[in-house]
Amino acid sequence: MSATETKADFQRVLQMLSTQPALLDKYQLFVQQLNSDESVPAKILEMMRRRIGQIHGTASKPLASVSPDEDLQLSRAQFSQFSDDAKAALTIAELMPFGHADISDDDVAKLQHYFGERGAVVVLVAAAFQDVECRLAQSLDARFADVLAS
Amino acid sequence: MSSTPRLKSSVAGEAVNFASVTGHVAELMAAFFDLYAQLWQRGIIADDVREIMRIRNARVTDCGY
Repeated sequence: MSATETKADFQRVLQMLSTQPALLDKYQLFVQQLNSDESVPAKILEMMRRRIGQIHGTASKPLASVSPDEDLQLSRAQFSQFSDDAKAALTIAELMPFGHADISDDDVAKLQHYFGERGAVVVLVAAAFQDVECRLAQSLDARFADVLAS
Repeated sequence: MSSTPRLKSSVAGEAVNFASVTGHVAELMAAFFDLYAQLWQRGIIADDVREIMRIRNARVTDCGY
């Protein structure tokens, strides 16, 4: 099972896009490209997704690659135990949902240092689209709640 | 927020912009632009409505696009 197949937010987005098959196909292809890129370790990308989901309150059960203790540290925004490259990526994850304008030149320079130019783009795109998925999932749930309440 | 490019262009001699920077991951961004075209050019929402939404969203998020 791939990482994306276990993500509740991703599944809810796919559920919503299923009414638009062409859009669904292109979105899945885009996400596959993102997840298959090897410039950033898969575990770091997963921890970023976890943290952004936690910030939005949409995170579900963590994947096996992230231990319960690591998940607890993520939920407290305590990144000191993680490797320097993970900390650089998690700084972006922390800011993307509600502080994207506060991402600094130094934050991006650290991404370049640890992941290269290519990896820096991947981290920023991954964080931005996890934020999108969380927002879409929340919007979808709100819509369903409205329907049930009517 | 920075007012100068933080990442280099992926194409020597080409100006730094969204396309040239994200071009460092060309296959990913090809998929992104394909998705983007589907979303913005081939959907069921009227063009003027989408454009108003896009502009308002850009203003709220301090985006220059």
